[in-house]
Amino acid sequence: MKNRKTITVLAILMGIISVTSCKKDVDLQNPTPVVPGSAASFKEMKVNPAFNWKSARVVSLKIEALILPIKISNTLVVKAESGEVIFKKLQNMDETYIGYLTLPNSMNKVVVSYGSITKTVDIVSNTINFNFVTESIPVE
Amino acid sequence: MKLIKNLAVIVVAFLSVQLNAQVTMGFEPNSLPISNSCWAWGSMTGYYSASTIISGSLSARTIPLTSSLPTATWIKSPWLKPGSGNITFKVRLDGNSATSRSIRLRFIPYNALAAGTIKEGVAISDSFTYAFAAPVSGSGSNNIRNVSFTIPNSIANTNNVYKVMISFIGVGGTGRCIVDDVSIPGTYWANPSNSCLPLTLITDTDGDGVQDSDDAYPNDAIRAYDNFYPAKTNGTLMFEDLWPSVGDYDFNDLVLGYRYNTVTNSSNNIVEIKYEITPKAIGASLNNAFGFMLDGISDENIYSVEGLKNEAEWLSLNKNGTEADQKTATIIVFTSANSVLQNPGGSSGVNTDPKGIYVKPTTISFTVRFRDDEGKPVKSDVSTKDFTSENFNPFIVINQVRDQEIHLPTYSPSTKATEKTFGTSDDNSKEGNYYKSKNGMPWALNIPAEIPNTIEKVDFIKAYNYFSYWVESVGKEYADWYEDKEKYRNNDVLYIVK
Repeated sequence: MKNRKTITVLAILMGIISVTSCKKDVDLQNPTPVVPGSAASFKEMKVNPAFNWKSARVVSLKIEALILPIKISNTLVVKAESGEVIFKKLQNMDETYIGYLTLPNSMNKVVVSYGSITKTVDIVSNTINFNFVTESIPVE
Repeated sequence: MKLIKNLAVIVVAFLSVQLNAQVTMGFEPNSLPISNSCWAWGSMTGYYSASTIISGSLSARTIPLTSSLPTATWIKSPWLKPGSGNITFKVRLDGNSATSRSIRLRFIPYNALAAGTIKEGVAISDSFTYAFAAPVSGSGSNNIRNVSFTIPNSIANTNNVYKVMISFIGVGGTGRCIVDDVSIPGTYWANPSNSCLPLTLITDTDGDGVQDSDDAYPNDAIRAYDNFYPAKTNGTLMFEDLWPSVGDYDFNDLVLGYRYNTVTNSSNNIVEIKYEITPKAIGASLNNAFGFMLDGISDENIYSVEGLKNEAEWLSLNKNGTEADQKTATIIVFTSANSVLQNPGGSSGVNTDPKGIYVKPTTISFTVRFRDDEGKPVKSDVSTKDFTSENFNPFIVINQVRDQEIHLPTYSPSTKATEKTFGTSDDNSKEGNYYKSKNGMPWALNIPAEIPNTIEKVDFIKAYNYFSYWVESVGKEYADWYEDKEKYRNNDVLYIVK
């Protein structure tokens, strides 16, 4: 009796194995779709009530003043890394500025130029922080 | 007039720098990096040892002086116009072994034709030398010494531009030199925003303070800069128009391309916004109108709306072209989608059926002005600091019924929208969270790029493969869902114009 039970269990197991093997073969012939697991329709999506559906967000642009022996005024330019101009303004080097820009959510860096001074700036906590300092100083 | 304006620039610069008759460097933390103000040094560092600094909290210190070359260890001033008097600074040695130590001072003229970017000419021969008197090593060598060089008459007050180079020379041993409190009679004449080259006259034809090469309107003192949104291409607005009921979610009932240029002046105030709206597709049977609000802006701030001609029974305009009886500046762009993108026949929609006749869209261009012809604001300045794309609140008027509007999710309706429809059928609008369904779904989308619409009746997520990932991750994943990257789109269900 015991042996018959064992044989039965083994047979069932082998059956399961053989079925899954076949299914694996089918999967190889019909690979999983590129986007597995997403909702089948718009209506079926599970949406967080706080989701705002926006593909762009407002970030703040903060320019730190630099005091110099002379007043310097030039055009400040904010560009995407791919080169498109996002924003321009006339900026005095000795004045602090805080303003706001709209950027695509997927944009995490911008290039800020001020005459010959150019920096790639990471957007951190929806803020672009820019100063005119061009190098760090060695101090002993 | 141009000469007077350019001369004005010189006079202002001259007056401002006369007050700064000395060009100084104290090497304090607030003056570092020294390159910020166009000073430079070679083989030197900031130094803060309390026992040997000269003044303040930092001095400059050389590396061990083992070279007699003036180009080995040095400090250079920014470009300046030397006045008359003495160049002074304080120095000390650090007490380490040394055979001899000296300092040489040279004037380097500006030469616009010099090779390279820094435009230094040949240094005038260094006849200015300070030799440290004995002892030059040991504890007795590290007294503070005051060094002074007289600017020669051939250089002082000539209006020519020079750099002053102070070189530190050493023979024998490893002793260093510490320097501080450099003071040069003269006028600072460098531009840190122009690679520290000498100040130059800018060409500013309209005198607004923005040089012509940066000014998008060089002959117009009222306007200076163009700021496009989206920056690269048109954006896309897509509407479902069965609100307050949900539709088929193909988001092609009305599809519009849009882009606007916020024109600013040299004070960063908005002069005008130039809009381009392009109706691209109509997948609806309803004849909708389109407009937008400028949230946070009263119509009293609008000088005029130029370039639109709209008439409809339900439309009433102010003299400045904004819609009448609105709390917020509201512009109706077109009153009839069917009129601006006409159905050629053969299919129910326009540009939603690949088998239908393609209708080439016509762009509607118009300008919303904030300032009059003299550049004065109508009511008060509107700065770009107070105005972003968040203020752009587009909407459709459903089927010619003025009080029925559909806005982007979370955006507020206009004064003319009836509140009676809110909360009915599938709508779950609440104060501050309008135009969402009970499941949080929108009736409109705003994409900061130009994207194709779906063909008729195709569910939107079938066309954009990562859209649902973006939504269901609350925006954390696939924020670029709309871009034309590999496997992002299903072009079989998109209306692609070939």
